[in-house]
Amino acid sequence: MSIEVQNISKSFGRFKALRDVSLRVDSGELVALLGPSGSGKTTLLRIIAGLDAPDPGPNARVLLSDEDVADRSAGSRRVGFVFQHYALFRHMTVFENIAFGMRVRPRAERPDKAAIREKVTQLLRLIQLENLGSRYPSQLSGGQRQRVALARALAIEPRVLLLDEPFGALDARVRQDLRKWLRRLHEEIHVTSVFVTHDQEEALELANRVVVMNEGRIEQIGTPDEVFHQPTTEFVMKFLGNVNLFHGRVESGKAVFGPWRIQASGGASKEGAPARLFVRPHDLDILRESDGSPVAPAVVRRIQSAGPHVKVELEMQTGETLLVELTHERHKILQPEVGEQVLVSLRNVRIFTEDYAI
Amino acid sequence: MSDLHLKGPEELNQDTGAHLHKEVKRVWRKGAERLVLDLAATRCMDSPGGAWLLKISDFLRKHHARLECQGDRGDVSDFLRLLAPALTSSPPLPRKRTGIFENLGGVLIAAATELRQFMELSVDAIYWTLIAPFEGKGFRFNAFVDEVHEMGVRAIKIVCLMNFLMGLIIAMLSAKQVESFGLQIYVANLIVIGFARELASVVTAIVVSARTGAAIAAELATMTVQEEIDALRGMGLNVSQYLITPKLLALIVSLPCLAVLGLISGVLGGGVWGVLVLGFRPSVWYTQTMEAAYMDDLTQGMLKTLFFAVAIVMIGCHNGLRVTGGSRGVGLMTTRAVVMDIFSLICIDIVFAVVFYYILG
Repeated sequence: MSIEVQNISKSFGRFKALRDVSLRVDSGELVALLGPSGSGKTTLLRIIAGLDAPDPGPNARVLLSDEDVADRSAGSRRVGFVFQHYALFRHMTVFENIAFGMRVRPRAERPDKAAIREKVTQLLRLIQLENLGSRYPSQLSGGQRQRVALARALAIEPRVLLLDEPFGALDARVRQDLRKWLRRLHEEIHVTSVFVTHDQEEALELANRVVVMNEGRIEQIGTPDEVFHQPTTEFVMKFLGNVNLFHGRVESGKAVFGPWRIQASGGASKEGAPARLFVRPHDLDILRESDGSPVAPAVVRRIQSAGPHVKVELEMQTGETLLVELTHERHKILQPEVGEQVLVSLRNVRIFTEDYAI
Repeated sequence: MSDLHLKGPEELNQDTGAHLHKEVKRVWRKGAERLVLDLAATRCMDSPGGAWLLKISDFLRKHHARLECQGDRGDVSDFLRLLAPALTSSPPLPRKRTGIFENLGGVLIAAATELRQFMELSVDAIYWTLIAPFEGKGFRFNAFVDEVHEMGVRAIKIVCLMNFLMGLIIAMLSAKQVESFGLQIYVANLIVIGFARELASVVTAIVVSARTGAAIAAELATMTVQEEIDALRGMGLNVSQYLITPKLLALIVSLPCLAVLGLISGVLGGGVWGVLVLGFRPSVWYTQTMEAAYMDDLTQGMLKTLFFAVAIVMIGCHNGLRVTGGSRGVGLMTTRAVVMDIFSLICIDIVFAVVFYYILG
């Protein structure tokens, strides 16, 4: 069951939430819509579900299984939707919540009572809450509620599962567990799923493909590896983790940033065009003595060694601050001290000149 | 022409900066476009001095003028370069003023849009309540019974009490007025006619709109905020059919019943005053009351309650579904629903008064 949207725009008053967005999700995929708040990701999800209508346009189409569903109501699309704040029905027990979608179907399509009971029991087992069927939502923890919401969405045997910031309201620890659980669940049932998140870690860990959105547009679509290691725009680079930024210029085909001259491999940019260099903190290294590679001097300002990496803050001669992440082994060998003069070298960089990425 | 000139101090710091600021204000005259500050004599400046420059520049910008520094050198120039982005940012735009017609038009458009949404919702709800069940599209009988219990049965006590007290008060006040004519026995007529035609239905409807109208708005608003409405729609349910229909039908059934109970309580309240205070024998008061009571008055009074019921439920639902902005919005919409409810009750009442007692009567 594939999902496809073509040339979708949506505005709320003067605010343009989506600008001409097209996207295809293949059957069985788990896709993340990643972006800051206000980037239009939730709006896109709601349009796919049929909860909102896109602005009318000649080419605007929403296809489920290659079938235009523009004039079909949310209910008839057979879409399972999981909301950020669970949206469980408070006056119903967990069991009734999950059974609800089946019980309200027209009589002709409604499964009989025994079938509903069996299906709910099976779903309760799937979400590992077998004994809590008679509880009310208010008696459950946040993580449990979200799993019930997921079961409720799955009960109608949706062709597509849509999740709107499913773990947004949960604490970090529970989020970790649920992420793993959702990943396994998807491997088990393989329903085409799209989830919205503003947490890049979540997107990179869970999804087969990540769609990075900004200001109503899609910035990049790719596997987690692609968007992390080969971002095509500055926004994607900045949004997916910490970066250090250097300003420089293009000189005779090379981008020049202080002591570093970097071969612009993708084709020459205009001479003198401004260029920006992005370096992830773990792609910088600290040296005591030059090893022949171009280095820049800097002073150590702060060291934070708690956590998986040692974070070192450096101040360059130009006054700019740099963030460097060292492994604990490297830190042990170097033993830098605050106030010490060191050298910085580059390993892996991305350059964005005025018009395109190199 | 419209330039002002000032000389900078030898050393621009906290004190001289403040002084300069005062000086600028003193020499300022309306219509000037530029203040030229001659810094040729200034040897050095510090951060407080810079801050005063910003303050001067802000002052000028407010009056749509700019600050220009001349003749600066050495360290002062370096410092000014740091300040430059703040000093040279564009003057603020004059505030946009909207005219009376623009405001009026905005209000009218907003009102018309809301009225359209309200009518759409009402038509949808009335279809699902009055027509769809006969087309075999299903009706939630259990929910209907629950709502009748909640809206009708549980409101009996308060409705009766309010009407009883109203009857008592009206008897008390009107008896005083007719005392000098010796017409106190006609207070019985007044009470029964007044309650049958007007008071029983209106007082009951106001109590119910405060009780049930607010509850409906709050319930739907909470469901909207917590995305439950979206969840229902996502499962293919029609919100009108699932949520509004049982409420609408329940109040259409309950409100006339409550109004009849209200009528009885009101008449009883008047009777209590008549018998206990005015000193009539119960049988006299009873006979007088029954002679004045006409079925027509009661029918007209009760007919109104059907319209009241639709108004209370639809306004509650409309406001509940319109909510934006979290739990704060829920409170706002609930208040709004009650205010609109009572306003619309009075409007419906006026229409009925005009039609029945002015045109037809």
